[in-house]
Amino acid sequence: MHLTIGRRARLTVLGAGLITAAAVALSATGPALADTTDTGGTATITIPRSYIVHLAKSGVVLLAGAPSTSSYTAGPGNFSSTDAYTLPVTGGNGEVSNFYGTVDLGGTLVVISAAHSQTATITDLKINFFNGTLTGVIDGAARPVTIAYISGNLSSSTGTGTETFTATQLAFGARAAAALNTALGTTVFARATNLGSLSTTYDVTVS
Amino acid sequence: MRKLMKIAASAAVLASAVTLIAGPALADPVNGSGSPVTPKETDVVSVGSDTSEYLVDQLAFDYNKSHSTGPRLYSWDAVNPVTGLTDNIKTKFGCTAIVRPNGATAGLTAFYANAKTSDGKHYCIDYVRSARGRSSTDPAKGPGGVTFVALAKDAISYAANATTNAPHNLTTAQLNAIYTCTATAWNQVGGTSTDTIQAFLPQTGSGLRTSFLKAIGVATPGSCVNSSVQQNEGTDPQFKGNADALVPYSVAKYISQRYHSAKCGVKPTATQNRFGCDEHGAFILNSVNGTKPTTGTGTGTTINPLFSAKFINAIYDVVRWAQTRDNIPAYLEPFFASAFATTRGWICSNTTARQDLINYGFLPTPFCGTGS
Repeated sequence: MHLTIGRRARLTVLGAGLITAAAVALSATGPALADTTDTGGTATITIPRSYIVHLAKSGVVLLAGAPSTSSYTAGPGNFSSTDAYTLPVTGGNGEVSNFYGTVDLGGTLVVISAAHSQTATITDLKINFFNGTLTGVIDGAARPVTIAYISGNLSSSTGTGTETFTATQLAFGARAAAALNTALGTTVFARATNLGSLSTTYDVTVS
Repeated sequence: MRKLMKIAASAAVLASAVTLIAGPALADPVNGSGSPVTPKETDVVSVGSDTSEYLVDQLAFDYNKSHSTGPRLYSWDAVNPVTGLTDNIKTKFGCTAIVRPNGATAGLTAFYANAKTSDGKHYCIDYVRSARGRSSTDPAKGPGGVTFVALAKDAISYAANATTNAPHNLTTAQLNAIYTCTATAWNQVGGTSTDTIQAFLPQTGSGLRTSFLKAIGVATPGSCVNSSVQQNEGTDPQFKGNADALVPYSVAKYISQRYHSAKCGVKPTATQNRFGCDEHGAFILNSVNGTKPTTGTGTGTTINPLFSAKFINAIYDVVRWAQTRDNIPAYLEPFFASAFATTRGWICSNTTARQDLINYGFLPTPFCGTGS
């Protein structure tokens, strides 16, 4: 069994002398420096053509609701061709440096079932750095659900006023899959299905 | 780089002057049976942070216990666990002895030297434990550079004795004033005492120190600040009965020490942490910006995930950048990659490893394995 003693590593005292500096009275309840606020940028959900085709075979299509946009990029194969849904960052306090807070996304994702003439709209999308999810509200429900779990190969960076984060996988959340199936009268959505990838770049300010 | 080497050398000289207290601890690193070993050239070895040293000791112990083939995982503590000193270590068989790096910055300095084993095939240090994120002086995330791989979340609060003149809550601005020495008495920061504040910091190689100063917006501490204490040790004699002392403290290490560790010099029970001991002394952790650093009670105490945002602090394993999907070298991905990466990392995906994180006070994060 490993035992450890209390260490007594005592470096030579550096600058231990106390000085009397100019007195600057500070209120006990004085304002803290504000946390960062997310002020701009975008998040992009990139879905492989193979999944778009999978939905289409069940008569289901996915559209971007303004101000979000979608853009198709042709590649050499089914997985290389992608449809990218880009949503504006509209606020939040998400921090990639310590995986704290949420990033608010504008726009909507609109899911239409041609076979059953039904539409479901996903609003209030957020990237949640506390629990590693992409959440949203389906058809105005009272509570958001986990649209996808952020996973795969993960990468982040923080620059001067800019933060970026990428994940190579988005695993469909069970409740979201069930809610969409119910709303659209399909069974095409399944939990843990890899929807694609996520990347976001946004600006932060500290006030 | 030359400047950093000078800093490391200075730290070694200073450390040689410290007091020695012997105890019944074992030398490090240890294998899956708890016995001290010299790592082989092919093993995976770390140096660096004090904050995560015992956690990584435990992770290495559990990994080695559960894997009978392949490279072993080893970790050198920030200081010698037997003597409490900064000694010379040969990180692997066939490596030249170096001054044991005390803290993340010292560990990174040694890491950037890229020393190899005598056969020239393997690095002497494979990864560095860090309680701070990337700084502008670290090599970029790219060819020839490094990747900071997230391991878990910690938090930093300020600790003071249970009997203290320090307020039980301070704002970021007040902490800034204390550590820039513009506030020198407790009644200037919400206390009632006119006593002089005794602000302490860990030594300059400490990642915890760097992260704390960044959180409170201080580039260079004032001359009233005492930087003579080893981090995360409430038992330092300078704190004993000192009602005017405050020092930044790893919340994870505090939780580990106070709620999961045996008294120092006493054999841990089966339910206590194998590595480290209770060094919190008479310290309590205090609130920052009106938020408490912990939630829960007893062994159920955890970091408050909603603790003031700037004081939540990720801990990292720093590896050499590689042209892989996650920029972690392929031979290290089985250890450090995310739970859902192409090659799953043991630390981010194994249930024992997750429990280790909790037992040592850290918050697991789904972003374990994120490279930055």
